[in-house]
Amino acid sequence: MSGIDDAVAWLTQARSDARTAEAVAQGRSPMRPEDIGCHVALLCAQSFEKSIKGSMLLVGQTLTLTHEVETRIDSMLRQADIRKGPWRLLRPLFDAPGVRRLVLTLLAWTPGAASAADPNYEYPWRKLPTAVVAVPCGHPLFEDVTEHARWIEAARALSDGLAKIGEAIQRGR
Amino acid sequence: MATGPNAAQARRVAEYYEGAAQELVDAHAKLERSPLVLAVRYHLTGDLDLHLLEVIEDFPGTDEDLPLTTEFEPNERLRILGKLHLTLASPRQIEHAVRVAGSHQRRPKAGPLKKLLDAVKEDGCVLFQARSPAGRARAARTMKEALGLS
Repeated sequence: MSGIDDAVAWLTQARSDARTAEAVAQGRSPMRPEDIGCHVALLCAQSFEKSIKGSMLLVGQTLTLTHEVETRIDSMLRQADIRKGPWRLLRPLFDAPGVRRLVLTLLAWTPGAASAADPNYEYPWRKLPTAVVAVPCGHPLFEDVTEHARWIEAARALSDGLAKIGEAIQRGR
Repeated sequence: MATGPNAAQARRVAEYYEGAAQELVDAHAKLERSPLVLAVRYHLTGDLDLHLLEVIEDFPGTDEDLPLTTEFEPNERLRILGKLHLTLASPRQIEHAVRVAGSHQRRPKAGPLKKLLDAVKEDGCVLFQARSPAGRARAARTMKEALGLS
């Protein structure tokens, strides 16, 4: 399997995560209203993460978790910019209005990126040893429905756009 | 009909391009994750570039997205003298493109779209048409008709 085939596979899963986030946002039974926000955040963050990894593979980079998200995106886009053809279409997707902000916001809530004292979309956290434990489910941080729509739209646009580029590169390279 | 060394050379180039395009499309037809519905080569003469339109089942994006057109330089897999112009779309995106290009109140991006669809209609040559499963074969027939290739 080539790096491009791997990229297409990562981007396929990024699209699946984005679609699933959209389904979760509808909050069908047995979900309760407080279940929605943190799980939409989780799935959109997962979609963003896979979109970034798929993009790195598209430009011939190896996957690494050792750099900051923004550094990884910038490094990947520099590689894309020096190529001709569909690689040049990567930057407009990441530079689209609001996309970077949303990617950075959601990935900062990924457990592991956040410290044990910081908010994240998956596990309970405690800001101070003496503070009350906070829970992602129902937390005000994840409750803004307008923000959910923005997260989902960005995750879908990014993963769909990248998947198109991946399909083109797979066929034309 | 033209004769002489130049005509013979042009024939050899045309034959080579035919083979290269077919080989490329045959490889694309084997990509299981993104099944090919229809592949059409167009702009058959005039330059050394290769122009391909591929309709792919479940190609990403909304039904209203325009087809994606990209260019590739010659490479190890595709040894041609010019560039590959590759246009990709889903069946629904093609149907939408045909509607937009044919509407009286065209959108700003309808110009290039109409140019593409006119070129396909003018000398499009089908290099692949899905024969199975039934749904995909039906989509391929519908696409041929929508593109004016029936």
